[in-house]
Amino acid sequence: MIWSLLLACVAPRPELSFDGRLETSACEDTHDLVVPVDRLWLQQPALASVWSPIATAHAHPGHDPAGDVTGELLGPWTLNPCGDPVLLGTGRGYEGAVGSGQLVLQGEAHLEATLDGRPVAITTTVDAPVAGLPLDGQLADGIHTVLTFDPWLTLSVLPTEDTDGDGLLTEHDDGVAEALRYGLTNPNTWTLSLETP
Amino acid sequence: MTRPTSLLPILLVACAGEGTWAPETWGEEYLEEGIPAEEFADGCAATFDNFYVRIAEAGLVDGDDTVVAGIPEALVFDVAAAGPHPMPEVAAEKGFYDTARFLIGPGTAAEGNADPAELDGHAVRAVGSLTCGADAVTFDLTFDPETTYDCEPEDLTIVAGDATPTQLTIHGDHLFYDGLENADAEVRGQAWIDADADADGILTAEELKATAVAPLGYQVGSQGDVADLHAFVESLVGGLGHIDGEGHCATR
Repeated sequence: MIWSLLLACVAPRPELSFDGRLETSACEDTHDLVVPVDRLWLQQPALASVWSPIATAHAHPGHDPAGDVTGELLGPWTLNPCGDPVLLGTGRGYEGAVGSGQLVLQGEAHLEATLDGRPVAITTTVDAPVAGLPLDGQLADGIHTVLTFDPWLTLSVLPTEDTDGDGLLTEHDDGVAEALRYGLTNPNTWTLSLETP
Repeated sequence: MTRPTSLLPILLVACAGEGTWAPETWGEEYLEEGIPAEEFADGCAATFDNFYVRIAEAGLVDGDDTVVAGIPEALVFDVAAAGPHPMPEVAAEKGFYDTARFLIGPGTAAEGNADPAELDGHAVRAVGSLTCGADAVTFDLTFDPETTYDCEPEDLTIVAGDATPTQLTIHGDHLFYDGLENADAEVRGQAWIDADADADGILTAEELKATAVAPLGYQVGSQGDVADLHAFVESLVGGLGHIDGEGHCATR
């Protein structure tokens, strides 16, 4: 009740716009990579969330400990981080501190690469967030969000055993599809930054 | 010479009105009797011989985020024993408290209901067995996350007369979650069985550390550095505490 009264006295924050860009990554052993991304969220520092009148998240299995969403850039996009840079369009948000970002991957992912001299061709469905991307700065009108992808982790966690003996590492080999999802959704795979125009 | 002066605050608090806070801890039926197969998504089942926790702090927090009343020393409890298990009652100023704070972490401790030597300075020690179909492992594992739980009980009001209870509830089934932050995490045991690399029926910490998380399909959420099953379970251990049964706590 008190929060409602206080909110009624506070002028609504003006909405701002920002844009997004995916940079090209160096993908020496990766010949083709398709990552389905549904959206990008920018989130307040977690502490700001704790004191928010809005329901807070709790760090617990089943909960993301990040702060409230303060910026949103909507897809969906089918991205190839190893290809040319891609403009992700315009997002909307509110001015203020941001403490982390979150991508939501949703759709069919595909990887073709060479791993220890062995051909890799994996196609699998992914439906999970890339949570807790470190981000430290202020969201302001016209700012650029820049996303980069590091293929190292995705390749390094792939099991190398060709369990079905077909000479190719695919989603049909034990643990391979799961490992690809682990790599693509790992926050250490992605970097998010803010760039002032 | 200083004694009369130091007594003054105590007398003032007594005049303002004191009541009693009665913190306790409980491992529920899951830790006391076991986790049945219907709770596991893959049909496994677990039982615990012991589940030791070191409760380093248990206190009431005022509006300035200061612990104003708490247990005097760290205590070791075996929450696989029949409970709930009382901690020492604490004198506290009467009134409403919106936060109870608990800390589970490694260090020295006194006896709660269990010999501190059983924990040997660790934060948590889980001793038990897991069965998945015809396969089974026993385990005796220690973990050392240090977690502060800031919990908001439904109505924590200290009154004169009866002691006001608050329970730090330990959820043993969360030890087997297949996700660290995703809401659809399920309780699974097969990965523990498969981690017993030498198939001797004894799952060791080293075997958990040698098991990569990536091929398991387990989700680490924002905890991208969690790469092996031991680190994964240790992170889960850092979130076993709840308030008064099912209440969630903010952790740090």
